[in-house]
Amino acid sequence: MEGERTQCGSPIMPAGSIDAPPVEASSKGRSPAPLGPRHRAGSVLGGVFKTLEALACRSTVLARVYEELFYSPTLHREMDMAELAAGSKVLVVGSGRLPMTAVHLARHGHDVTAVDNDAAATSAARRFSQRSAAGLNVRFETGDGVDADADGYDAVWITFSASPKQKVLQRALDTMSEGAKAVFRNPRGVVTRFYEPVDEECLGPSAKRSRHLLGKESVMLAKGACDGPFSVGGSQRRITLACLQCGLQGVIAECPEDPVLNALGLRPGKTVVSISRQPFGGPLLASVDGRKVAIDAQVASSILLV
Amino acid sequence: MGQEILLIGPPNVGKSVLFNRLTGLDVSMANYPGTTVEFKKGEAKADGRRFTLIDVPGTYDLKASNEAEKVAVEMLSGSPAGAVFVLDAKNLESSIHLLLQVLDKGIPTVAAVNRSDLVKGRVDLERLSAEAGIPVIRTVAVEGEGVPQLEELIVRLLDGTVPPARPLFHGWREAERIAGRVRAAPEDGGRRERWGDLMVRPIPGIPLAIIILILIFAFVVGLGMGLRRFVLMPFFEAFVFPPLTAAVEATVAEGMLREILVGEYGFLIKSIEWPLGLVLPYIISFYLALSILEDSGYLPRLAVLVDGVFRRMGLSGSNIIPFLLGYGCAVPAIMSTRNMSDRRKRVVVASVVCLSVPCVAQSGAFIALLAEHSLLLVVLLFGFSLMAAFVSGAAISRLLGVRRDMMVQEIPELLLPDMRMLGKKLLLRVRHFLKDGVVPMVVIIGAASVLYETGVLLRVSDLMEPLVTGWLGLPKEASTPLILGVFRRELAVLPLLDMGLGTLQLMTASVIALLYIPCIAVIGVLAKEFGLKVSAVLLLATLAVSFLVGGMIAQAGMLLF
Ligand SMILES: Nc1nc2c(ncn2[C@@H]2O[C@H](COP(=O)(O)OP(=O)(O)O)[C@@H](O)[C@H]2O)c(=O)[nH]1
Repeated sequence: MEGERTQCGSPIMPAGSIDAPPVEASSKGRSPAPLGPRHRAGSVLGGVFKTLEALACRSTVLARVYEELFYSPTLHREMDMAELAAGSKVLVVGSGRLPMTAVHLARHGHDVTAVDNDAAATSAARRFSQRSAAGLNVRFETGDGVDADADGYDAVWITFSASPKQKVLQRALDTMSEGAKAVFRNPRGVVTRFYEPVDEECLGPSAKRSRHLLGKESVMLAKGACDGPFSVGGSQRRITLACLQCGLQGVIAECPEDPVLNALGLRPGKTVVSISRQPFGGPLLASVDGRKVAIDAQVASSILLV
Repeated sequence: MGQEILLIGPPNVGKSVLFNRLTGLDVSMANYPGTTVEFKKGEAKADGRRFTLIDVPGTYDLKASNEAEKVAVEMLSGSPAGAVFVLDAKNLESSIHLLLQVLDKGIPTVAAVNRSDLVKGRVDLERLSAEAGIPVIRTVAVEGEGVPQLEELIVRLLDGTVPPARPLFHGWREAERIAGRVRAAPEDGGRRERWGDLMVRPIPGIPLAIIILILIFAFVVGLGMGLRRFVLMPFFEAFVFPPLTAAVEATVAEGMLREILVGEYGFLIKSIEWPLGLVLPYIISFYLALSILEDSGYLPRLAVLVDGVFRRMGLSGSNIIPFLLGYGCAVPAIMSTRNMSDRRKRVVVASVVCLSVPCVAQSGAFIALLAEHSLLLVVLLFGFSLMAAFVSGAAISRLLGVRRDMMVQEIPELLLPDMRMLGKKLLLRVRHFLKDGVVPMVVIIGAASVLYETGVLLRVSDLMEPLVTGWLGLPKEASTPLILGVFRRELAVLPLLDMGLGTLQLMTASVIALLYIPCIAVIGVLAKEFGLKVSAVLLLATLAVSFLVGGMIAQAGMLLF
């Protein structure tokens, strides 16, 4: 097996693309949206991986290599973040034709249900898993992530190309039980132009993230914590300083007790104005009592506004 | 030793300006024993009375939750004659919050409300004085306003006629209450404020930052080169080296000892030439530029702009200073990491600077070598340098498990720097370099000149030959610059000029020279700052990386063309 892997691995391993954005085929099979620049560029990017996938679909060995190369490192980090117990019940939304995420989770002993809203993708996935993942605990169903019911699952995985991602995530958070985890993959940097991201600013302080090469990151949210504007646990929506639009002001309701933050005027009851924001998740600039303060985005998302 | 007066206050209130107004030229930087926290200490005179003024590291709090705060607390717990507390008229709440904590220490305290020009109307000094139970005056440090009155108060501290402070309630409630009673309305920022905000907006902030950095670089290189070529080197060559050589030749017989002292890499000559003739000019020009950036309030803005990139290296935007310095010379760059609290972060910064940031002399040499061939190569090389800095930074910080700092930083308003302040700051920094940077340099130059004159280095060069011709695809003479590069980074480049190299060879040689081990001066400073083990690892790593990457470029290039 080892020999096979290196043999097949070398021709398809472009340098440094271990974490290349995997394209889990299209999860939206409904009506093809008019091709905006995002989609067109995305399909060029995705084309390369489509080809690899088409190859992988045909050959069990290639599929295994593809899984180990592109999915295993990402999934390992995601599973670490989610701290799943063995044999957890997992829902995968947007599993695609080549359901690597679902299969890999099953391979690690979890009980996996995978949904995709494209019936063709679902049947392709079934065929694939009969060949390459026989005996694993994984089922495929056709269904839309926006209507999925996550109740009873320990974790929900939302794949890179699931769409509309923000809605799917919201739905998962709304329906799953307290303490369950939602893991999703977000494009970052320039890749956000090709794939649809979940609004960076709207992830609360408890979001755990793990970045991969080539413009992708995995984010994990645990239901139950107070999570910014995501109405996690049905609790009331709360805006954090990180979500405050530039030019608007808000009054601080809760702020961590930190000598520097507090000394710079970030204390409950103070009025803050958001001035500007940096790209690449850099700090945002705010003004309190006429004083300008640069605040790390993650710190800003722990400052709640009324 | 005179009596000690502490100057204390939150960061950015103008403590340094006041400090410089109160002290003469006898100022020194010191490290607080057992810490990396630096503070300034200066001899001062008020009404004929001498005293020692100590600039306590600026902190927002006295909870002793970081090194600087611990130092501040320890200083206050010593037995100073008294303390001068500096408040910020524009940010009274947080100033008063800290003042209340200082009063708790029970030492005689007086207060100055500084930056009073930035508020409309007056801060109610009588009321503040009554609330806090200490004398309070108003100052505008940048204009020297209120400094005579402050000196009078200091004399009273020295005479012991100010009673020890009484502890009061503290906490934000109390600070807000007092501030509410004495506060004056802030002045409108106007145009300057709008500019200040624009500079931190990604557009136009980032393009503007690039332009500013290029201007700064041109300024530093130009001034440094001018000083070196037209002032310092002619001075040494005319007045210092001839008598020195003559004296040695008169006393030491011809032979190895004489060569070691005044030969081609003679210890006496080089230990003056390198630190003072070659590095000092750039120290001057670089620190001048840096002080201008600092005093104008631009530096924190730059830090905000680059934070998104630096966080990938486990650092924060504020760590840009050593990188900027590194483009001048790695010696002050490494020295400037001292005030970083985390040793592993210091190692990350130092390694990146050593590995992928070319010093100003080497940059000049690269331009000379590559521009002749094609300007594109110059751009390519500097692009490579930035990329290498980023990649190595990210890799090393992962390796060392560095955790990212979260930036929370005040962005002060833009100001026109004051010439006198700049001059004094520069003087202090140059003196600091002379004291702490020159000695390790001299020691290692001594060792190297012994190695060179005894022929050890040349033998090493022979050993490297097969590697150079086979793996790197360079002519055999190219092993010489690699040996010389140990002495000075530009010497790893300049000898390549006359070898008639092709494009691929130029790129290979330049990349190797860039990534190659730092010069001996830097090695000396590394050893002093981080110990022998870290510097040895760094040396081996840079050596290995440079040959590996250079060889890969050469081999890939040969395959392709
Ligand atoms: N407008 C105004 N600016 C001041 C005054 N005192 C200091 N500054 C400026 O405030 C900035 C911070 O001063 P500095 O002495 O470096 O602060 P430190 O951190 O307390 O040492 C500098 O750019 C000074 O020029 C003042 O009285 N008025």
